[in-house]
Amino acid sequence: MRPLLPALLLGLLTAAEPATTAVILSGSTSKPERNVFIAGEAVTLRFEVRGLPPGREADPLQLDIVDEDDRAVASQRLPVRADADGGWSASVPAPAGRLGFYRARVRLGAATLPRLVSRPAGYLTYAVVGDPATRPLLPPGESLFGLQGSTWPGLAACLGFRWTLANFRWGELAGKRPEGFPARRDEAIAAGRRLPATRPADLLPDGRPWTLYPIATRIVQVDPAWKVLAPGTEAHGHGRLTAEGEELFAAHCRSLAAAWAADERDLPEHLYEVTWEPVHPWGFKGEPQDLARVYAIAHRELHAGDARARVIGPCLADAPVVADYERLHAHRLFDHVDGISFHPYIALPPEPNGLVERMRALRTWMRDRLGRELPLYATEQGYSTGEQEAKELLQAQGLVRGQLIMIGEGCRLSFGFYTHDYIMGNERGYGYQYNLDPRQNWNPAVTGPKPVLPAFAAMTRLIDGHRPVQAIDWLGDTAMGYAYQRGEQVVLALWDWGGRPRPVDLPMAGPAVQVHDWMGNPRPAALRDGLLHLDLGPAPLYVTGVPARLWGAGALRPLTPAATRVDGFPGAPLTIAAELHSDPDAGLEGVLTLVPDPALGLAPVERSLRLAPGQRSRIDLELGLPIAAEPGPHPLNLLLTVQGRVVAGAGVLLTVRAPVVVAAVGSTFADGTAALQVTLQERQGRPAQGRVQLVVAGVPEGRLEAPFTLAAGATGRVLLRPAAALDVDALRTYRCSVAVLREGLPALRSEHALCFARAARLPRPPVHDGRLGGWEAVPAWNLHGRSWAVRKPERCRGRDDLAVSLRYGWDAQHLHLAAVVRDDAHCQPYDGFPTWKADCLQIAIDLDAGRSIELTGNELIDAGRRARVTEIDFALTPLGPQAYRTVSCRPALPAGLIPPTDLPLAITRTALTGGGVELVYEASIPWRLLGGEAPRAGDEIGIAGTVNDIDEAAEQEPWALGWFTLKDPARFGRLVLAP
Amino acid sequence: MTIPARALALLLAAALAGAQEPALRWSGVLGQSQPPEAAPLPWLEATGVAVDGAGRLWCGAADGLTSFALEGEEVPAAGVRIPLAGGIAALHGDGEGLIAVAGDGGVWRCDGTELLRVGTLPRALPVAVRRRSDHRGWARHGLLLALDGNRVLALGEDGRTVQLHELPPPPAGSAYTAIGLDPADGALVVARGWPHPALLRLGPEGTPCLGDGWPREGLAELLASDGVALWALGGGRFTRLAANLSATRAGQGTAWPWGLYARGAARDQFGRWWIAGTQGVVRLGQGGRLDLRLGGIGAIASLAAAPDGTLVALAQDAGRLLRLDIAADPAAPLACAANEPWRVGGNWQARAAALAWDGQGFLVAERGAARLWRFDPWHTGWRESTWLPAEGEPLPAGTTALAASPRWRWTIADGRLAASPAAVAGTTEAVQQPRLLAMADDRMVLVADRDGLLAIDQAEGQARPRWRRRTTANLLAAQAGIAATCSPDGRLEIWHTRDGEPCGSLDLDTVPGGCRPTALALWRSWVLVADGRGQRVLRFRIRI
Repeated sequence: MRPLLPALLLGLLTAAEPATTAVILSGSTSKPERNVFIAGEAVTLRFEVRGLPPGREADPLQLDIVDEDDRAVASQRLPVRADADGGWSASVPAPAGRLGFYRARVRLGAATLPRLVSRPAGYLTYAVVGDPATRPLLPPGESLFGLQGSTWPGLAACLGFRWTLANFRWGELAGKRPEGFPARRDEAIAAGRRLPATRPADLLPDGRPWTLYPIATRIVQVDPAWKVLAPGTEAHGHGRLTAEGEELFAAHCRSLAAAWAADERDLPEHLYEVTWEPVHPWGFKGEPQDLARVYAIAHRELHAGDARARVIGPCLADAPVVADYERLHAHRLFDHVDGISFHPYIALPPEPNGLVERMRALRTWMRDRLGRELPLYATEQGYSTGEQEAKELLQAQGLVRGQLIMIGEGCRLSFGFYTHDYIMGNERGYGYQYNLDPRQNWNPAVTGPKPVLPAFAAMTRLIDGHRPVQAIDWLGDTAMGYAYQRGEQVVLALWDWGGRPRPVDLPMAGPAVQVHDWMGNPRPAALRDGLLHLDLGPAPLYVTGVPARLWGAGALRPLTPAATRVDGFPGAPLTIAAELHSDPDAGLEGVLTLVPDPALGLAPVERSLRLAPGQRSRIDLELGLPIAAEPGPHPLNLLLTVQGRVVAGAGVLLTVRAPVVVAAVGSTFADGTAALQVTLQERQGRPAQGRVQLVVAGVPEGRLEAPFTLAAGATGRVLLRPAAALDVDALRTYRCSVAVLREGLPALRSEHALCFARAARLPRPPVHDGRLGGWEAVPAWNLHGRSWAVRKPERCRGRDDLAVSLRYGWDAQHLHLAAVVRDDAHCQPYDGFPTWKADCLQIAIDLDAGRSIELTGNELIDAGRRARVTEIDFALTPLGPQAYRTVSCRPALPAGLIPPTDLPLAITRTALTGGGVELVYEASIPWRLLGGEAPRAGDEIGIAGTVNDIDEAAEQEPWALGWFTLKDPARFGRLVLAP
Repeated sequence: MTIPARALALLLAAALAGAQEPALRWSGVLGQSQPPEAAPLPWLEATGVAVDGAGRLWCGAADGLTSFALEGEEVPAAGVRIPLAGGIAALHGDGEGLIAVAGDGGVWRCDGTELLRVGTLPRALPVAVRRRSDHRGWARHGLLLALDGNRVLALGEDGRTVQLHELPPPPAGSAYTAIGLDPADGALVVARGWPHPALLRLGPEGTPCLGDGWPREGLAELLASDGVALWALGGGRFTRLAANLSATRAGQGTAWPWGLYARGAARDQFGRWWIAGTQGVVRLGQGGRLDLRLGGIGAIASLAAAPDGTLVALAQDAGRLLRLDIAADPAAPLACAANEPWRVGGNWQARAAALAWDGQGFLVAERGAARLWRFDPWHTGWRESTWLPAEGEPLPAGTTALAASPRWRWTIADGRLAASPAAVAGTTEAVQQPRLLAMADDRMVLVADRDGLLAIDQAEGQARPRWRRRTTANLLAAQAGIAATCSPDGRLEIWHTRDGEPCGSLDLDTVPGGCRPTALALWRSWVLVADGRGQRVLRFRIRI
């Protein structure tokens, strides 16, 4: 056939059809604004068509109603005959007998429902949820769920969440001025409004209130126009507060706390989330210590103003990564929170992407590093479908499972995100509902549910108010779940994320057991031989009516490990002991299997067992750890199998310890020359020998190596002598990596901080004569330029602006200090405490650097046990040279002026030809004034300092050159007292 | 690494000299993984990597193939080199030898000594190579499969190319970008790129997999076979692509920075991954971190150092910036925060005329455009400001040299010396045909001109010559107290900046492997010399 002919045929066909207008199809439910129905309500679908050939029969309307898995629920074909205007409409009853999600696909010939804002073309949706009136009123301490976003009356009740976020952003509450909150609050009260405002209660269908609980959030977020943040550190309303900003923030927190305490008298706790995703660089451009400072201020002031305050934070933006928390912990941020909040975003599905592991790692980290577990608050977690229908099921299953994991792993509460679809940049499809309102991006007047909405409602109905009892993670490599308990009620939530149905059997008893699908539809459970059979898939199943004696906190468990945490060493044998206990009414015959972490490369170990009714027995299972076993945590699973079915399980955490560890790394002297020293400890109880390799990061030729030999259980020091003097700055902290190398064993590597600062031993006390008498043989350390600027570096104008030449010395009685400061303009208008704001020397000393000190919580005892950290400001004031102690370590050494009889001090000023001045600071600080006694050569102390500079009295804040990190003893440098 | 003989001789001479350390001594090498006296690796980037049946590692680059014997943790040295005109576009192992795709689409087989042409593709396409002994599933169609848009092609043993399959059209804006053969069962896996990234699987008999987690959302830059399983490299991870993908946990973690543009990956007999890309060939070591790099750095046009030991170099005709750590091992991966390679101003066409550290950051003068940029090598990630227009007065057109401090910028443009803020008096007559610039500190700039080396003191509104030395310098660097020059005869000299007195020198020919200096920088007690012959940077210690 020649090509022309098909075109002709096409033309004839189209020519035969009369010209038509477009057919427009629309549809809605009998609750067209929200499309969410309560169980028992009838659902009607109404359809309208326009643009049909008037008065003629048209294609029938095909209606296919499916569930969230696209399984057919109902089908109908409606005859269509157009009226004289070419229109047609009809209403039909729709299935609503089950709780869950319904998608009504509609087609009329080639026409279908058009796309409506965020809902794709082709269908409309509705959901049926349980009656909110039957939900209990849970107090804040028991209520678990929240959801971010704008709501409509009844949404919170239908979905069963009570927690909401209240925007307490400083920038909004205070208005144009950072100190504006109190006045604005007074105005609001006079006008009959609340400030700060929280969301009013939702409503149940019968008009009764559905109580909501607020979390106050974004406490510190500023209005960038205020200029309370250091330039270059601002992002998203967060940044480093200036000195003035700190004072204003402190005052604001105090006022805010007092206000909210007065407004919310019924809440037992007032939760304040201080920051919102302060993630560098897009959410915060400062340093971790700046964030810690914000929390230190907020915690102090909020608690001072509100006896019920609970400060939570820092609200990082992803599922916990321990390294991020460790960075903040280095600056003691967690000393200033009462709970940790975060947004546990993670790729879906959550399990293979490590959500469970990250939560457990965080809790382990808290126990190890903080010494306690802080309450956890997951204040946002969501997933974007990109407005694609194909992703809605993953959104629903992944987010519901994510919530179950959050609560199962111990979170105090968990928020979903977001109530409805919106468009913001590339963000589309986060909603639990479609936005069907073309006029509103936020707070739409018309919405429709996605599958996640009824699934979330079912989850809250079954789990809210319960606390986790145990994780159920022994049913298979992709199966998991949790047991939750409230009083004597236990609920199990179980699923398999592996993509294939997984049959499991669980010990179960009692007539009240029911299995609910993930939309909340119950069915009676059929038990056989004391077991409940389930087929697990990606949508969770809930089991209710579970006997607490089997699955509750006090349950008699057939399998209990003798210890849940054990230590082992590479190449060494390990014994895992388990206690078995049979039911008093039935014996137990089966197999106990120990399944090691696959990373260990070991095969499972099995032992058969038989117990009489009510019998207890202990079984030991032996493992030989491989030599190459990686140090760190390794989970071991114990499984009890009866007749081929797993009926119980438990977990043991094995921590493989390094047999030789690096206890300390530091500078030292050997035969009068500078060297590095690595202290090793043998922990396995066996002699060890090998080599130590140390690499100083960023220092050329900084790789050193030396052999070592250690007796069993011994501690030994390894000296490493560089061939040539290392090119390092004495006043900087360097990172070094240390490797312990032993033949036949994997290398053990660790990272450490290293300093090279040494204080010379002075044969005679120096003469405070302004000419550095007595310091001649001591090399100086020079600081100038931006690379040494630690405060407001943008004000540094180079060496001509400020330069410092610094020396430390010591003897049995004193720590000596000499500093020559060249300044283009000397300005110190203050005396006493405020001298820090102008030209001065701020020196900090920690006599307990590197020592761990345990506090009891008893202030009387702890007052004498805190680290001996002292900070002294030296300044040439209008009243003469002064030494002012600003930080004291002991009540007997109070803050205040130190008389020259106690601390010999001289500060001389000389004008320089060509402009500028030179100040020579000479001080001799008695050790007893620092809380110590005569030290020994080789001792280390912590040091830090700054040289502050202003050029005019009108300058509000100084800039500064500095060494190490003042105000943060954890980041002081180490000064070795040379022999 | 063993100490080469020449280096030993240098050290011995220093020792015999009475244990008095010389003013200048060779310290080490940066950016070249080959031993100092061996022929250097001439490539900065690599386009493919494979392991042959004998366990040798092969790297493909613009010059052809290079083999390496892998022995434990040691840095492997280059062995056999097989040139290929037009360079290598892709390289794969077939279980015994290698299959290489050249830049012109030619397909070559290599059994370790020579290349044999076995066919031609329409052009250099993404390919998946079957194991020589494997004829299951899609592998039965030929020695390799190629991805040409939506088409899957097979290259048969007879050298003919046939189309096997047409993939469904991808969503608008997306394209298929990678192809892999699963050695476990002969299934075919295809990766689709942004903005709709996904992995698709076609079973051994050709049917699309629509279960068990397939198709899977997510980006795979690369698909690589280790002979046992197929792996996807994407999102900073290697993920093993099992048939039941939904049961796959998050894969082997890496510290893989975005934007290294991986071109190939291969796994050695020790289980370690080697990845070819913009940094040459890097190894994924213990703990999931890049721990070794094979390659050189090519010819360097300029060097500048920051106080923290970050060394920035202009490479690839001054169009690409590299970051090295002055204290790094020779075979250390190049330092990279994210989104390498970095191009001048973020523009792949731009070239730099000059590079300098001004006391606050790196300045890059764009050639021919009179644009001056601030380059931040420590913030190259998403939403970070890597390139910002530099503040201050515009750059003179035709700038060829730049030196800067917090308060001053000096330039040479069209043979004229200029300063900003403008400096007058005493300089115009003293400087004749300026060529090179270096800032010693905020008070002194050094100029190499027709008559030698001139030090100029600068103050507000005034610039006065301080001293002059007769010397011929091709290269110049300076910092507070010290200046360094390289002369045309390969002599490296250091000078006191206070008075221009020489304080040490060294013949660069005495360095193992020799040196053709192309750039110079100073950092604390070290001189850095870019060596165009050795495709590396040499480090020298100053002791005065």
